[in-house]
Amino acid sequence: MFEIRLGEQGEVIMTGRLDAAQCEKALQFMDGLPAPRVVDLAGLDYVSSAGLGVLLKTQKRVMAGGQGLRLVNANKHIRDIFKYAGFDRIFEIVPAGG
Amino acid sequence: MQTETSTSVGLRAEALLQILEVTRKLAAPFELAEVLAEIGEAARSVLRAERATVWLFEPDQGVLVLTGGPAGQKPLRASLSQGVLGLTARSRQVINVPDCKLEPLFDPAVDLDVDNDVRCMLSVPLVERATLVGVLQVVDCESGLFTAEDERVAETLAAQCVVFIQRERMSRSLAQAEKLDREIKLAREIQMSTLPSEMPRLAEYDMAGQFCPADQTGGDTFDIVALDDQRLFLLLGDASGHGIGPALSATQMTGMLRVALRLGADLDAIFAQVNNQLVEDLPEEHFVTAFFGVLDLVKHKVEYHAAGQGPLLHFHAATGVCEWLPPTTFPLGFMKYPEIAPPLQIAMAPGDILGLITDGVFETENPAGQMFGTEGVEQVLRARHEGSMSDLLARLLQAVHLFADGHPQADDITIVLLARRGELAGRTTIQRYFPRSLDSLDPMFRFVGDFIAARSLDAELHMPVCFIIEELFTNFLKYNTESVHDISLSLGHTPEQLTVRITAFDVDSFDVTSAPSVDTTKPLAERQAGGLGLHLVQQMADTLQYDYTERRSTITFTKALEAG
Repeated sequence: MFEIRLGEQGEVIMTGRLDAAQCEKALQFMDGLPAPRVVDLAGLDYVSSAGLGVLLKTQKRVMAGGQGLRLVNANKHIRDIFKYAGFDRIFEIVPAGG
Repeated sequence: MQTETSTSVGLRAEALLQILEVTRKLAAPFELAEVLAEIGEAARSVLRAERATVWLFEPDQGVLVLTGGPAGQKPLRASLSQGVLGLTARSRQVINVPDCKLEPLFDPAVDLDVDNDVRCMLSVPLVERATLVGVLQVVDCESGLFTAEDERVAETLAAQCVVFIQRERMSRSLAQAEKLDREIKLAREIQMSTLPSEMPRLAEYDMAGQFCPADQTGGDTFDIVALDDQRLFLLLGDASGHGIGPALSATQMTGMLRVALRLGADLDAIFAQVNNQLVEDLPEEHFVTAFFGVLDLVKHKVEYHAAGQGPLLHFHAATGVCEWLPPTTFPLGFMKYPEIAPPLQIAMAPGDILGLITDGVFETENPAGQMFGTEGVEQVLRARHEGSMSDLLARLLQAVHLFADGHPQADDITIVLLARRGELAGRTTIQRYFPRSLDSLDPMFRFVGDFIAARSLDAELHMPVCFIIEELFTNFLKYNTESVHDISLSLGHTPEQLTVRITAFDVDSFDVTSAPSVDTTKPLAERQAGGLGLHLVQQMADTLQYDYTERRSTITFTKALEAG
């Protein structure tokens, strides 16, 4: 199960499992937002490289406009994957409570 | 005219009351002979006649039969062409004969002129909805002639009588059916008592067998007999026919087989001898389809004859292919075999399954008229073959039941499953196939989750293991679109590590261990999503191996388990 929606502050909220079967849905949602800023991953249990690809593509698009994505509240597993993928160098990653 | 006492249909009130009295009497349960005697007596009384007789029509033989004569006397039989009796039956009309001596059709033999002094006669058909039930004959009334009113009285009485005769006939056939039911039930109990009460416990093989009887008729059986330490005899049979026959044939075959085995006969001899005996014993149109096989527990092969019994299932664990083997010869009991061809062989590789399944399974119909077929069996097998055979068997029966969706079970269902345990057995390994589709990701993740939970392994492993599996699986999908074979995923563990093996069949080689690494320190503009997955797999797996043989790609990776 994967859900993606906008929160009250305009942040993107992703919950569930962002795997290869769900990345199309995630990318379409992100592409529909002119300038997404914050992505709240508190409810995201899992991300695969296909999901990383969605974040990477969106980041490239929004960075052209100046401001990049803030990935907030990701769990430890997902932060590990971000680190292995070098995402800590190209995204602003804010752990829970940060 | 007696208008003041006549009813609206013109019957004397007195006659009507008498008819009602007869009806009341007949409503109590009677033997058919009593019913007929009561009807005769009623007719005689109502019509003030000397004598009345009731003939019953036997549709099977096309004759009228008169019972109820003196004890020990044979029932009289009359054809429909004889006498006033026959004309009444043919025409289904009331015939009023004022003077029998002047009536050319009158036949003393069937019109019962026993004393040669019958004067007048009323012959009334007993008919129910245009079906002839019998003929009521009344002779010699007090007044010397039967009137038109007598005809109507007789017809009314006849209509009542038909109801009771039919009721008696129906309850008689019901009672016969009940007796047959009891006999069939007994035969079925004997049939079931010959089934093995438990499966042999074998180090390298897992077995399960079950017989599910249909309500009525069926002649399935199976047997498993250890010949010695190395060999196991396997029997599955399905006797044809209806009623009590199949259950007896099945029981007989099992009995013969056990005697033959005790005498030390070999497979071919048993097969030939059982057939010859059944040829002699079975009624011409009956036969038995049967599988006779011997499993060699050391050489891991099954030698078999399949007399009209098939298809037989051989599931190949290495490829995930279900092979359906046809019968080797015609059914038992038809004719003596001119010669017995040598038995065929099935080689049981680790993880392979032999399925002996009677046609009751394949031919199970749903309300739409579709059959469960071999496809139904394969579907269950693909999802469940890594578990125990008793579990697989239960799943198969459940699937058949669900498929039938309330449609009644028409035939016996028998399933015997035999699996050679996988090479990793004992190291708590499980394996399952997944179709080449992204839709498989969810079930794969659940498969991993269940494995970890069931073995109380570190739950923290779930996410990285799923990550690696997804990357390897989607990589197979991406680069080998030609292959139609499902992808195998096996999970195993020792106290030290979790081992995951993922295998794709009929694919080109692609060594994931030598995939170029991705420079994750590059600036965003130079970063690509492609290649990231395998790069991460290399990072996250403790060990990663790739093997390519016979167009089969196998990737094995491990994750260390915390001690304790």
